[in-house]
Amino acid sequence: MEEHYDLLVIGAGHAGVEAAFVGARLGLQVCLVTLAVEAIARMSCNPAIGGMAKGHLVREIDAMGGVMGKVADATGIQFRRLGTKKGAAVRSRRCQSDMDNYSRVMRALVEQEPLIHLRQDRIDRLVLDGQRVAGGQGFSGRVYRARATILTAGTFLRGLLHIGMTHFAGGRLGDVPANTLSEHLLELGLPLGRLKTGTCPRLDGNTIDYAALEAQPGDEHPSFFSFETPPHAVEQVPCHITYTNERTHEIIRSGLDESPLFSGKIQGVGTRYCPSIEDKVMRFPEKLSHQIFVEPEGRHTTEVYPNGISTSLPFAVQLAYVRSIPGFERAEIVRPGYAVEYDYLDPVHLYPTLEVKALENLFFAGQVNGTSGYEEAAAQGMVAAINACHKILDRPPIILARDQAMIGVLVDDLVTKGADEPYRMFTSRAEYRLLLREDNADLRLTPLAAELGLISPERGATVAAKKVAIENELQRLTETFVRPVAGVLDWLQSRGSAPIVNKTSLAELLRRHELDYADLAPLDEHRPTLDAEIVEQVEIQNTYSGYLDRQADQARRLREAEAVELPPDIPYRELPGLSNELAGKLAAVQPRTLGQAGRIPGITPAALQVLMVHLHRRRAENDAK
Amino acid sequence: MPLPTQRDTIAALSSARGPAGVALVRLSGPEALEIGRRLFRPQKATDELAPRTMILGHLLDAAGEPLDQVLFVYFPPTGSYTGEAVVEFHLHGGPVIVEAALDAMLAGGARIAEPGEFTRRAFLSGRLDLSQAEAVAELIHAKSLVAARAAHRRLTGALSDKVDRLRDLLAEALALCEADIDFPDQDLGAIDPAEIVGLIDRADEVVAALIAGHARARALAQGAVVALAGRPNAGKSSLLNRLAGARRALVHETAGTTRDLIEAEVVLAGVPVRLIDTAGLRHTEHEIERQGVDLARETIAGADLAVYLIDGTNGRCADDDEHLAALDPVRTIVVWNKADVSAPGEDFPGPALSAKTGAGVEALVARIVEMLGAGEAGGEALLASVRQRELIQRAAARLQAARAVAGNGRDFELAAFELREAADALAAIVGETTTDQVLDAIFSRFCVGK
Repeated sequence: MEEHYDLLVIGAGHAGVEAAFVGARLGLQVCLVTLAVEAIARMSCNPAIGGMAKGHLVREIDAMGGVMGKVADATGIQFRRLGTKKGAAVRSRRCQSDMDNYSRVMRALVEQEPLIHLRQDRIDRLVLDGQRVAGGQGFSGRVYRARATILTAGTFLRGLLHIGMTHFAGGRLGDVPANTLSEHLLELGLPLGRLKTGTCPRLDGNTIDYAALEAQPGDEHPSFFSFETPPHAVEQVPCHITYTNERTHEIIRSGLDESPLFSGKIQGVGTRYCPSIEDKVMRFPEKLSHQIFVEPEGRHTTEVYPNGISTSLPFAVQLAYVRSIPGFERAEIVRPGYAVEYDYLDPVHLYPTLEVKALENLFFAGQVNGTSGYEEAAAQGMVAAINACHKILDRPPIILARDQAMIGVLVDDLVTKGADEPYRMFTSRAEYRLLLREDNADLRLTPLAAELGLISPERGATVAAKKVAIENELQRLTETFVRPVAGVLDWLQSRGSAPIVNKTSLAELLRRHELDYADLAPLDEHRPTLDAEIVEQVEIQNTYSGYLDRQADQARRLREAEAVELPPDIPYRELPGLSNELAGKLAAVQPRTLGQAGRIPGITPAALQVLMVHLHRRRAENDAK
Repeated sequence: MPLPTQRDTIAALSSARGPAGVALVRLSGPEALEIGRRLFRPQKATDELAPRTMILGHLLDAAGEPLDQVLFVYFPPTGSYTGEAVVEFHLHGGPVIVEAALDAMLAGGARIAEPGEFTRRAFLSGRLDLSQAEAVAELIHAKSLVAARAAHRRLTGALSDKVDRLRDLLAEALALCEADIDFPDQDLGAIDPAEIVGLIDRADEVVAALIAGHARARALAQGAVVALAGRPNAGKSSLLNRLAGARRALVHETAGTTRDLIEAEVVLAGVPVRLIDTAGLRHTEHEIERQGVDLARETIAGADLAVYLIDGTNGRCADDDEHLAALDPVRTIVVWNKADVSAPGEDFPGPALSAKTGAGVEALVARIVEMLGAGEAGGEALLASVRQRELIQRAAARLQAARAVAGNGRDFELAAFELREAADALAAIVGETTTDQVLDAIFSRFCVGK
């Protein structure tokens, strides 16, 4: 039995749903296959979206017409802005989600989209047309033919769950794994590797003594992810904070002989970014206490997620150490913590479009590419789908640059450096961080999204108008001057700001730490009435103008190196002057541009020169023909 | 790895290094003509800077002071080696002049060319044909590269060690900034800005020592120019002969014997020095001698160090005061000669010697070496090239800026930006990137994660 679609998306997690919506936005028929329709966009780990760097990704996804930000806004039960005492480039949003509601709302959106066809099945094999992938075949016997296929398998490929020395097959606690597909991919020659991640024991909130914990409420005025979510009040639920202690650590140390992690039973590589509590205790013995962030999982459940004590220790040890923690003395564990080992594809085997180099028309996105995090997964889902659809529609690949989007940094890092441990986004990974702020994600990416047809032309026009308004106001402030006359000097003194000596532009005054845009109103007679978000941009861009200019100058250098394209058929191993090691690296990555080649670890300036010589010889030969 | 950009204007010495008759310094890039024009004053004010024509004139330093008499040639992009605007200066071949010329070009907005960059630009713009491009490929063939790199490693191992230490300090400072930025919600404890500033200060000390050692490194690598100055018959030629250990200069009782320049290459306490005996400084009506005096003044101004001799038999006179007032005190040693005949008074601050007997000459040598920054006290001699010095100075400037913004405890992202620029400059010396190094530093130091 065969069904025909344009795009097949295998997996309906955070990567899969974004991918499916991109296909629908571009007018294609999308088949979205999941192991369980009630588990669409499930939060397998903690019930939160965003946070530092991850919040940037959500804002970018939203700026490009994605769904994660909107659903997070609709289902958030607590909203916080992080880094508010710091500069604009390092602020981020985070929300606590009602995780069941998140999944439900996402399912409703999927079901309401006529171009997305939702199917529950387990894809066991790909349909091959030579070396080209032409869809997938389900355990049910159904065959889903498609012109492009995106695999978003998460942790389900040969997923193996560990609790103490017990282990069992599963993609997630309570869910079956996808083992047949994994074997099929290995047969097709994909060099799958093995990674490990873990999660916390979930506690029954009725058994927690909240009075003993420190409460952390949300912000008074919630900051939403989506540029299209209007300000509104939300009834918020607090998080709580508690700490482990020496007794906790003692219990953990005594249980290590039954730890699959320390006994060598787990082979997969874990992440330094999300260590288990037994890892933390062993690696930082001098730290006598670790913070636990108690996150509510929803409005209608008492279950909580004690973030910070992920573990794969035996259940009895889990219960003992949990109960050694203040506030948890009588806590009951609803679901035990566990580690999961799974197959992944080192993303160095992918093009920057996330297409598999060895299998045409097959794209990989999300955790299966060696990343961690819902947001990282969703971002890849978008990138893979845009490029899969563009391939179907015979449009050029869309690769976001490192100075354009955190998503661009994420994908470029993955395909250029590969992932030998789960990759998590950090703002420090972005060398142009000052440009890639979460406040300007719309200015950076919405015009592109409009051009690609991912959002409505109206939304594109709104952002274009916003951009003009910001530029006009910046210009006006630069050209509006005040003079050192009595009225101005008195005013400055009243604000605790140094006197001016010469005539001074408002732009310059606004750069002073102690003055903001609203403050300057008395000195600014002809000020136009502007939206708050335009004022915010004016303040940020004006305050950091010197740094932004320098960073833009660095980015200009990047663009030049990115402009030199490397054809895919360069015979790296035959080029005189390249060592075997470097030729091997270049052949594996197949960099698309000279700039990307330069970012491969170990590549030297001399190696880049060899590539340039080759390019010119080629050009000369082509000219001669 | 930072990639050089095409839009920068680059400058470099294109002829062989070391003392030579003529040196060729080349500028290439969009601003080559503008920078070159600012640094050049034609001999005849009426001269137009016609393309492809050698024009005689003076090369000026950044302050507009003449450095050397030179030939200037401008090649428009259509017919230049690189396919960009190119300006060439043909200088006198002293390494000191070459370095001063490069300094002036850097101050004018150029940057030092990466090795092979002129050629790279040439074939990027299609100026080199296939065979020439292959010749470039031969040059960078792995076999010879390995040899070149091995040599480089041997030569710069000590520098690499220093740079590695600096990068560790910067990675540590960055890790503090980045942990504070990327893990705002973790119980890291407040990051103390003083700790970041402390690391920056430690890095700054290393940088300062490297820069201080540059003078010594350069002196050791290229030799320094020391001009002997003074009124006629102060004993300059005798001193040159004494230092050179041979009768090179004509020594005569008649004042004004040395009209041209007499030079001697000598090694003073292990430091190669070019000694220049100049004409005696005095007012004269004699045309040829007057030219000699003018030349002497120019030479003294261009030297790394001037040794000004007081004729002990006459003592320090008003003329000496006048001449000394025109000299840079930081680069001048005032010496009392003929101490065997007439000893200086208690108040004379400088060394006293007798060029004739040799008494006191050793002390002068020690003083010269010290003043050149070439002694042990001058720091470790690690930064030999202008390129390395430029990169280290860039790092030093960024460290200053980082310290200024880190101190307030609020702008760690700006401090990180400056520290990364400093780290990039250092990475350009040893050729590596730093992001992973910083993440490693974060995760080895902090227990973070969600």
